[in-house]
Amino acid sequence: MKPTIESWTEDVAEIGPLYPFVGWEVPMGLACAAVCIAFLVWKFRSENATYAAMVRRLQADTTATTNDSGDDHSGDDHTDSRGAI
Amino acid sequence: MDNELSALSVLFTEFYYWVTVVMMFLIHVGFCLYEVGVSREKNKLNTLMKNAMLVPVITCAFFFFGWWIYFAFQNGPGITGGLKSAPWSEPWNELMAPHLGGSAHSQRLTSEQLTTWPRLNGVFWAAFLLFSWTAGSILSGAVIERIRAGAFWVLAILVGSVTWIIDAAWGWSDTGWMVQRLGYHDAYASGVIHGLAGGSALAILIHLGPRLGRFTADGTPRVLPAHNTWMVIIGMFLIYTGFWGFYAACNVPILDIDPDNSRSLYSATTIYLTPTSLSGITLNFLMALTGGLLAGYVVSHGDPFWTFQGGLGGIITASAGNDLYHPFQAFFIAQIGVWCGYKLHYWVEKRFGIDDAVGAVAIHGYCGSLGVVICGFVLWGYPSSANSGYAAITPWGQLLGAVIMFFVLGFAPCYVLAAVLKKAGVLRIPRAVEFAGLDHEILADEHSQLQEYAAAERREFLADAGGD
Repeated sequence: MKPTIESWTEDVAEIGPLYPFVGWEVPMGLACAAVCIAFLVWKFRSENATYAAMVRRLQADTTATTNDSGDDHSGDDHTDSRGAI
Repeated sequence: MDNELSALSVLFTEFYYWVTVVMMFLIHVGFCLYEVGVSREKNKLNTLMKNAMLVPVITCAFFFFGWWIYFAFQNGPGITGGLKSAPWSEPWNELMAPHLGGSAHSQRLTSEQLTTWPRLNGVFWAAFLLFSWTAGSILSGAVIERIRAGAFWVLAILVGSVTWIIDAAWGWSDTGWMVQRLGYHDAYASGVIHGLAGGSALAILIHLGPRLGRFTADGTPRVLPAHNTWMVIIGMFLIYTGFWGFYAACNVPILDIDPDNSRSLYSATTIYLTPTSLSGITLNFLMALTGGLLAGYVVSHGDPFWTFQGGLGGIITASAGNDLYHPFQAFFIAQIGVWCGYKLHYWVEKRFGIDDAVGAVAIHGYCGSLGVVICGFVLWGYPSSANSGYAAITPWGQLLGAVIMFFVLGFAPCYVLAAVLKKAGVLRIPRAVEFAGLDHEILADEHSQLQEYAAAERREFLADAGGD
């Protein structure tokens, strides 16, 4: 494939696009759009997975902490603690 | 550009917009500092990344369709005509890339377009893009500490690359239908950016709900101080600095304002191609900032956050007519806007339980919309455009314009999209994570890494000491 620019001295006034692969703008644009959409899809999925895992771990931590704190006043406090989380 | 004078004019315009873009970048730096300063220690990394990553997300969307919307939608379409042809703004067009304006590869480009756009397309696009980032950042501050980043970025694309640029096409272009029919005038984007972004933020906040613990059981708001006041204040100063670039970017730097006369008369103009000057708008910018700072200080009893917000709100309120106001008018209009914005913020917060973390709806939405309406009274009867046959500026044209910006293009689309995201369960962070902190796991990891490093360091030190 010929480069877009072959000389900076001949017919300079006729020079239009400077970039290589003129005519490939649509496929390049589609590829760029695909990357952007894939990024957003990945972000939604990763957030769902990350937050679900964090919630599980935090709830497990809370349960363990509540159990460690003894049974004397575990009734209402236990409910409040889980409710807050 | 076949003679030195026309070359100088084009290259000066190209450089002028390029400089405004660099200055406007500071707005985004300011917003990042300011939001991180407001958010609590447990959320600051998430807050930073949510705002910073709107840059690539909005930029891509604005490249693909935002820029085209600005030119194509100036007639509505369907109000004063159909879709306008604007091949230079299509993402696959050769003029959306480095180009010298010689032979065109595309058959659709005219010789006039090849003369005008090769040197200006990129810098114009970037100037508008920076406004898009600003619109996204305005939303970002309001919703910190509980919105999911993915949902926020989708909403930011809607505002930054669709709704704000539609309103710019309608009311912030020399041939927009709102300018033609309503005489809409909003020279430095009180309603076009700030009113719209404030309305959008309010819609999202309604679906998002307040942060945990933000209100007492009887609905009284609890005060949540900023974790770092210095970051907030430095951020605000940077936003002021970037705002200078914003004002300059709203102007056309050099244009013949009397083209029908054989003797050319050159001036800076507004986006509506009506004459103004950088000197004049500098007077008004600073007097509006002054009025806003004074009003913010008084109304908040010297609270630093609201004093600095007041400066910003003052500029935003006066911006609609700052091309034509007297500096004293800008000063008093700024004060009215800040007083109203501040009072409305606390009234809405208490009455409706809206948790706007940074007062974005007040400073941008209420001040911006009020500024558009005030402009209708102060500039009543002024021509809205250099084009003949367009409606003059009126209070009712401006009021309708403010409603279109805040509610029709700001509030309504975001209300619908936020409802969809909420229904899908992807709008808000789970409460357990919100309670623990959005950076909970990162901070825990950092803590354990530091502990591990300190232990290794101690072992190495003791081993060396034993050897000695």
